[in-house]
Amino acid sequence: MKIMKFYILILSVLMIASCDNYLDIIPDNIATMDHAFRDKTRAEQYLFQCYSYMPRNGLPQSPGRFDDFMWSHKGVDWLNQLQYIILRDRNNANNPHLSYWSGTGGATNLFIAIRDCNTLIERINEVVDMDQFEKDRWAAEAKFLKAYYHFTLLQMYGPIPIIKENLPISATKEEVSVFREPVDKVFDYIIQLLEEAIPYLPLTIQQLVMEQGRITQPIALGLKAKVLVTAASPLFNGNTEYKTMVDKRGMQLFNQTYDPAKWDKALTACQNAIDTAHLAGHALYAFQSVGLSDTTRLIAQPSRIVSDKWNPEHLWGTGHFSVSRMSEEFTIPALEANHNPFCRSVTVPTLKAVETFYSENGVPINEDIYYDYPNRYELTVVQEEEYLFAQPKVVTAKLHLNREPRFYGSIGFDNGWWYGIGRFKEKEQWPINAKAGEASGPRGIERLSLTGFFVKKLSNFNASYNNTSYVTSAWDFPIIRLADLYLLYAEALNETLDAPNDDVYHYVDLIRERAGLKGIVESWSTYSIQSEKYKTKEGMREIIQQERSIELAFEEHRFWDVRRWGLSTREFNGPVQGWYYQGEDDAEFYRVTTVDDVIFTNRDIFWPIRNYDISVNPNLLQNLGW
Amino acid sequence: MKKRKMFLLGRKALLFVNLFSIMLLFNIGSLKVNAERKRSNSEISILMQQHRTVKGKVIDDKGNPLPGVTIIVVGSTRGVSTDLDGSYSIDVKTTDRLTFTFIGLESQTIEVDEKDVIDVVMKEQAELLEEVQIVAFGKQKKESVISSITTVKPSELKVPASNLTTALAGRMAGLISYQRSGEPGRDDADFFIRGVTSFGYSARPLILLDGLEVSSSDLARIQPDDIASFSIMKDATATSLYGARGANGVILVTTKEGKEGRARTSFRYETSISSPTDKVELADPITYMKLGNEAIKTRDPLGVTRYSREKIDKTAQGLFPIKYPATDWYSMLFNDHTLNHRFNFNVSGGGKIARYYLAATYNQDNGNLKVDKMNNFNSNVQLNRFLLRSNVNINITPSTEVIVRLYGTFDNLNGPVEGGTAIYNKVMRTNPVLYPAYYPADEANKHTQHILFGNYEDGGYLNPYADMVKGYQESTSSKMVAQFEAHQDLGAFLHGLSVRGLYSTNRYSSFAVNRFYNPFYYSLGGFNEATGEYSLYNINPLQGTEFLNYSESAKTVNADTYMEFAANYEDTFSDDHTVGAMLVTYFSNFVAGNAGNLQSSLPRRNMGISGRSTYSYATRYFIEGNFGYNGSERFDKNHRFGFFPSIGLGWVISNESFWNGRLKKVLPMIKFKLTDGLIGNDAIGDVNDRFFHISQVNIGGGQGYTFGSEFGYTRPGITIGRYENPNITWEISRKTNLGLEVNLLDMFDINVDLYKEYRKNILMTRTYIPVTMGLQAPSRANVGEAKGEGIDFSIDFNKSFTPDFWMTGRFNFTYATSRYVKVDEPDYSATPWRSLVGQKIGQTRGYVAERLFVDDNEVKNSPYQAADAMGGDIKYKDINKDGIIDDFDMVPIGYPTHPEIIYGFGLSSGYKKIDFSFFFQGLGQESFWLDTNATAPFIGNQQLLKVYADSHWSESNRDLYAIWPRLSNITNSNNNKISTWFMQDGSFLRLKSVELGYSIPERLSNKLLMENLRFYVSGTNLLTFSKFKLWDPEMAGNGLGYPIQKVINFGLQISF
Repeated sequence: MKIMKFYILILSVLMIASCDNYLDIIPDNIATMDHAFRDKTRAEQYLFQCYSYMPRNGLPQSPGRFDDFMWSHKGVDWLNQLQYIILRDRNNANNPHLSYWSGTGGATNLFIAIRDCNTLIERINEVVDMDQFEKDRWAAEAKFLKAYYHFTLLQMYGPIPIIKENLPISATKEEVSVFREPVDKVFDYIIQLLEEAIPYLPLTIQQLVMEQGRITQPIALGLKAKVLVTAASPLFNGNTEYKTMVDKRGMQLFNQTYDPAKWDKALTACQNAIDTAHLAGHALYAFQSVGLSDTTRLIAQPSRIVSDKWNPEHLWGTGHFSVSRMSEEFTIPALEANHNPFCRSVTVPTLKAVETFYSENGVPINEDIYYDYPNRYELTVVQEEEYLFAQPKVVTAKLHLNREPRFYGSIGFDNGWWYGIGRFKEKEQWPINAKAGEASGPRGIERLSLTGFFVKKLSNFNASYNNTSYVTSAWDFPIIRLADLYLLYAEALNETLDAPNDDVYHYVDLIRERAGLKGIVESWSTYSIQSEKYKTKEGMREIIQQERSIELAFEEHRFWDVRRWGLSTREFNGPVQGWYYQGEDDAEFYRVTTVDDVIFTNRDIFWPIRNYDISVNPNLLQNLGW
Repeated sequence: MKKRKMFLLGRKALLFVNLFSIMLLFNIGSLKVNAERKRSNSEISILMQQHRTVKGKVIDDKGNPLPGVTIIVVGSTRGVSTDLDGSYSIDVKTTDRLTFTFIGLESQTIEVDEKDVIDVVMKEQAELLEEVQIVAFGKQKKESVISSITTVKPSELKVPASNLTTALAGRMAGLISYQRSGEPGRDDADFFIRGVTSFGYSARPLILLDGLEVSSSDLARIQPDDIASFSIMKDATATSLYGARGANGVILVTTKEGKEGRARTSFRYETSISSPTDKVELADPITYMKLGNEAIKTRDPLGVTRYSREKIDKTAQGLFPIKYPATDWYSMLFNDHTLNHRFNFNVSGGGKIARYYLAATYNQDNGNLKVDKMNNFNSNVQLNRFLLRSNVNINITPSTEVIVRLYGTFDNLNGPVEGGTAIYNKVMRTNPVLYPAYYPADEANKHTQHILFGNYEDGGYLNPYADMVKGYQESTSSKMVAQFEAHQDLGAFLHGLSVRGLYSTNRYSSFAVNRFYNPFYYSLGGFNEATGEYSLYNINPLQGTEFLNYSESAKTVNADTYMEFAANYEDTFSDDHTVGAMLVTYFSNFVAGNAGNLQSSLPRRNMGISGRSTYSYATRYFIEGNFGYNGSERFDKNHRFGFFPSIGLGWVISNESFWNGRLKKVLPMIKFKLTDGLIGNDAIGDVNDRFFHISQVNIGGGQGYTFGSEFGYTRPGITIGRYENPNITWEISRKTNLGLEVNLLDMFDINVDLYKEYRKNILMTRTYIPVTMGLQAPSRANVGEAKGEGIDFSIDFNKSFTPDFWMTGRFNFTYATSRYVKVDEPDYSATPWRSLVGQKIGQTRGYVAERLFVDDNEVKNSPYQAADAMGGDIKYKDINKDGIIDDFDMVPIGYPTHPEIIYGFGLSSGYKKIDFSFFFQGLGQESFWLDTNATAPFIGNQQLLKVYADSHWSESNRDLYAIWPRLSNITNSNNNKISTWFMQDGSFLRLKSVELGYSIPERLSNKLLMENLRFYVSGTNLLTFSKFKLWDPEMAGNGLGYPIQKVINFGLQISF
């Protein structure tokens, strides 16, 4: 009894004391997703978040950065993070490099990006202080990005799941275990998204200071053209190599019959994109400068096309990740001791890139009847009249001479010149001296060009530095530029015809003319040992492919182009070569040296899906060979 | 600003109160003793008239004479008191009886009879001697305790270190503990009660200091001299009252209170020599260069070697050390040993009304970094720690007691800007042959005021010497605790009823400021080998500064309050039925002033009601039921409270009537115990990830994007840190304990506990959600389950062979193991070795290394491992035989990274004035890995361990079982995998402590007016036995950090 009394007494006291409110500590107005769509300022942040997942275009971490044209050395650990490792060491399914699917290996998970885009599309109408046209425009931008992210994944992985709408967090295992969809379905969905977005996008950006770089109609149409050209290209159009990719549902993931109508669609899209770009004021860029000879102007031009910021040729550029500074630090050689702190000069052209550029006659060096192709690695003395191309009276390889202006403008070589970085008089350019012990030669085990060449194109000649500071002159890295569209157009048109017509030549010649070269017809018929090459569909296809590789070299296109052309196992497989960079004199330096031997087989065309992700979702079919 | 001032004021006020109470209590104590002395002196003259005289001497149980003992003839007012020697004489009749009384000691009444001499030994009051056991929210008679609780004598925790946590390993059955670093101020040991049975974020036990929750670093600061009891609570009945917080076990520490009696003062001073237990051996510079070249050439025959033949030869000859430096960074930076000091003072005493215990401690711990003479500041690690404690008990009425405890710890830590461990780590990553620590001034720098620190190329190399001497960090931290407790005996209302209230609050603050210059780095420009002239080149003229810069580190401020109300009831009916009941309700609140974000800044709160009821019959059968009903602020309203009941049964077989005769002699006490119950854990997720029922959206926390023609329009984005899930709730542990307590021959106390534990509702990431969902934060749920089991075992031995010779011994053994039972993971039924289910918690997964590849040919003909695999690299086993080494071939390897076995044993003995004790401690079933990233030679200029230099695969010596595989100048992804190759056995046995003491004879100490004076020499970590030789095995994978210290200590103890 006594105990009962005790308990009743105490319990009643305690119950009063223990008010549940004590644990209610969460105040109202804790930030939730609702707050993101209450006002325009927050919604704008959300839109910027959607943009933030963009692959790192213009940076050494970008997936397209390293192809058979650009390489790096592996002397120190941090360089292994660069993505040339995908080619050099091949990818793996355990812990894939640059997995934009899983968000590992130096990449972001693009499915997160797509989810964010979906959220914005779903909820942008909740914002109260925005006009409808603005909401529509932002939703259209999100749709564009959603399409772009799907396309990026498609290029890497082939068939991918389509994320039309977001699944709720509470979704069951069955609902979340999605399948990879056939590539045609994915292409169709990407095009559908772009078509939904295009009417609501502006033709041009009005508020340049705040909005330059945001998506416009020409960008969306440009991407649409590129997507459709990709869909029509051999990799995705009737590619029987992937016949066995049939998933659990019995779904064939790659179409098995070639469909020429896809090129017609691509051609129309290219035409539309070019027309709209012209309408919006985009035009081929030509570098103008007073006091420079035409030769030097043409040599400086390739780098100006890329790094003269927001020039009219850029349909779509990005300056987000301080790309320009990074690009420059990774490519410019040290031209004197003071440059040491800022010049890593580790991403460098391969011998293959060097040899791809045309001769001074505008045809491939191995076709040029006047070019001493078999003896190209032999040494010669630079003649006085060649002083704008290389340092006169010094010994250099024949390979470096008698080349087209774009070669001198895109690639720096031993005993050549470097225009800019404080030296703007053409007779006072920086000399490049790249042998061991010279200013641009290897410094330590870290800062060196493995091939003895340097990328000139990805830097702004207005940048400046000494041993303590680096003054950036920022520029936007072009993701889509007009020359790209012209060449896509020519490619698509050539594919739809039995033999190329003048229109095909015309669009390629626009690029050649700008580069200081004669037209295709004249060049080939006059200088090439294959003087009839341009007359056939196949020959013209090759010409367009080489033109594309030269014009867009180092701009992250070739990595994808070669894949879609179905040529990657041919092009990417094999030795990576350069001069012997440790050489201290001419005899030692000018020896072709293999720096890496790349094995690239069918399985390397598409990225592997991480093993773990397949364990989690067994509905996913692994890519072939992984 | 205002808040800061208030805070400072608050601190001042607390200090003042503390000082005031110290003064007050000194006075109370001394007044009382004086008053008693006066009274007895005046009465002596009256008693001189009696005709028969009895003489004698009164001593305490240690043989010390007791002055001031009152001796009164029963039934009269006559009495005397003893003099300084404890002697007395009194006139009596033979029929008289004498009562001897002394504060704090048990009174004795003795009949005179015909005795002429009556010597009396007075003992401490019996009620204090009765064995009680600290239990949750109270005390119980030891005999009636059926929970599994281990108590350690505070004296056993006295090791010559100022960090209490380093003394715990092996001292208590049931506690797993190990220490990974020896840097003063950063050397806290890790400890777990009965191992780790959760894979949530925290497996740390709840630590309560006088009822208040404290952190493990607070525990580290507690002075063993101040501890009254130190217990760990292990099973369900012991911890279920703590409900939400007790699942990982509870450590209960109470501090000493004053005892009635004169002021007893004791001082302790120790000075110790501290040196690393072990030094990591590095290869000599010549070998470094030779193998550095080999590392490049062996991987890439075209590669450029770093060190020329000339450089290697001239370095070997010791020519031109400026041009060909060979820097021994270790001896350049570190001293072999350092001196530390500890000083401790306490005084306690009191009277009927008030009792006090006051203590002050000062410790100084120094690091072993060298200091450059060119700076006037000290950049060595120095930790000055000051502790102050005042515990005061006041009996306001005979039934009301009030206790005030004030406690403050103040740390001042001085050290290099980045901390001592960082310096140790940097030495490992610094090239020994490229540049010296500093250059002597060349001609051009004759008048330069700053140190010409060495560096190379563009100045991007490490110079740990520069980092060490460039400046210093001053950090302070302080913790103030104030506690108020009141007891009210309500026996008048209901016999055996009492209530108690406790209010406790503490404030913690810490900050650090850094003062440093930016070192000027120089590299060698030219060197004339003919004349020895040289010129230096300043690499960083712009960055370097001669003047000091200043920066501030993060500041921490937080406040903790705790309230507790309890009612206790205990009574015995009809002699045999003892009932007890206890109810307690508590509220805790923690707020941080620098939480970093809104959600973390919200207070952390717990509240609960807990109860205990006990019943025993005739001290033979015991039953106990406990419950905790607890709430945590972390969960959704519907899941906020958890109910955690437990039950226990006990049987003291030795109290049965049949237990008698010889049986009782051999086994005076034997008790069986069985307990079972549930306990909760709300420490799930992460300390800053608490509110699972609401989402966390970081507006402005995302990367965002930049637009604009001038790249000038940037908006940060919005990210999601957590998706809401209202169903997340408590992690629950069910603990079952079977215990046996035996006393053998009144000499051995044996305790054995077997336990089982089952955890469920462990928070886990849902793995069925694929990455294609695009979630930014994992989706989680209470789905994990784990089980643990083990044994705690201890034997205590206690024997006095002669009055002069005594011996005590102790052996402890703890084995705790745990396994995953249910884990949210993909379906691994086809490859069962990939599943965590059944794997030990804390066990590492990795590849099974077979040996090194013989040559490149073997690599080609073996399953594919990695692009950079070559001959001499590690060959792994293809577990699933698919011809490729990948995730599918990873299996659980080795033992967990925390030990499963901890044991300790030691003996203490005394002969007359000499005492000696030693203690061994060991651990077993622990694996660790050589950190291939931290030890891989040549990667980023990393040093070369001597063992690697001596044993590695090379083309000329293809040792397939060499310690290090083929050298490489860049990280080799094949060898860098976690595998059995670099797995080490972490077990060791070490002489943890040894002590030899000598107390000076009483005659001498009495002359010095001392009760006791003792000198002692002690040592810790003097000997270690282990298979692992590279560094102290207790540091495990952290071996390149600040080493664990070996300490030789000289001490002096004085008590008055």
